[in-house]
Amino acid sequence: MNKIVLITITLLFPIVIFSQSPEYKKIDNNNETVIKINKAAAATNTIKSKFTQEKFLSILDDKLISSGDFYFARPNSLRWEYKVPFSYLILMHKGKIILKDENKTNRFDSDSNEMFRQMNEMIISLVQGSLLKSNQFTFEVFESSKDILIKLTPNIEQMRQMLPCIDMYFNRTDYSVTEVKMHEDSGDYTLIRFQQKQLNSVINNTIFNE
Amino acid sequence: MSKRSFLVIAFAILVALNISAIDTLKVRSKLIELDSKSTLFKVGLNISTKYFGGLLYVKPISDKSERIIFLSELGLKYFDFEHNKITNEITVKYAMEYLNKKNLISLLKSDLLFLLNDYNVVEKRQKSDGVEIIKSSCHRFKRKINSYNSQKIVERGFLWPRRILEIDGTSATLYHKSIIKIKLQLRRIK
Repeated sequence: MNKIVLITITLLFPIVIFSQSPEYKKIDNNNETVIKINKAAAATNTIKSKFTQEKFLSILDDKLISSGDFYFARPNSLRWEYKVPFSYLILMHKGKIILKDENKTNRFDSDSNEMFRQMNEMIISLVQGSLLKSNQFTFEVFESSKDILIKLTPNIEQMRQMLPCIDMYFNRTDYSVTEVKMHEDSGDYTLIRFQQKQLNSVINNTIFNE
Repeated sequence: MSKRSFLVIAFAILVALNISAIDTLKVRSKLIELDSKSTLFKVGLNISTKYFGGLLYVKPISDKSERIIFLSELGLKYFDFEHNKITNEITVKYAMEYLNKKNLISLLKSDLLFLLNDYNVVEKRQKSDGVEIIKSSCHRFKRKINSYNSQKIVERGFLWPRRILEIDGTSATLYHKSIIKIKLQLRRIK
């Protein structure tokens, strides 16, 4: 279980957390806004985007910036690739999970390995937006005139110790995720910003190959 | 033995040992710019068949200490160490519960000291075919320099080398010569 939690958190890290800003107003979890987010997620077949990641280290008052490309296609294909200032690739496709860095490529079969099966399901459900229906998180919804904030709190104690909450921001135009921010107890956080996002554009399947 | 005889013998021994210069093993300065505000490395750690990758972030806090933070590419913090440059000790400020294992932390602390430390030792210097070999006076470390940016440092063990550190420009590889194969690779990326 520990391994599942660790690896899941590691891979979910790009999916940021957001602190509640005063301008945000809490709304009901069954509000029409939440229904729209779920509908938009269900209607999203592909996502193509660039991303920028900021890791803020509170003690050092410093940020580590990295960036890369993100691709998703239903039902469960994902390419999450860091390009600057290092190369790191996460691939999920046809039941296979590949983690590749400069020194090593690790391949896993998500169907034959319970740990990776759960990890695969969680990441894909997060990308698809169905995480809001998951029993692994409780969530609260806030909205402002600019966007919508969903604050996820892990129900698993071990995960909660490392990540007290994951906040996701959705824009009010297409109800897709624009930023994710993940806070740690220490005050550190990781912020992922999605840019040049294209929903339901054509993605060649070869992008999900190594 | 008179004082004069002792000095003569000592001089003869020094000549025999071919100590032609006194130098320090500035290993660290090859990897980290001394005046840099922070340094970021891509790291890969192999322990037997297990592989552990991530980033290593080194930032000076003062003249006396620096923080060394090991985190995943995705930003998850694994370890936070503080290196006291005066006492040359590393203390753990944070360790992820899952990775908070005594043996692993001990290994990392030891390897980080080996990688990041300045070795202020008196050395014996020899030149052969353009290759410079420098041995520490305490015989614990031996360094081989192929060029300014390429060098190899061997930490001696009882019978065979304990660890070997190869530095090539801004990259370094540290091998453990033990029953369990351990290899730590670093590449400076910022």
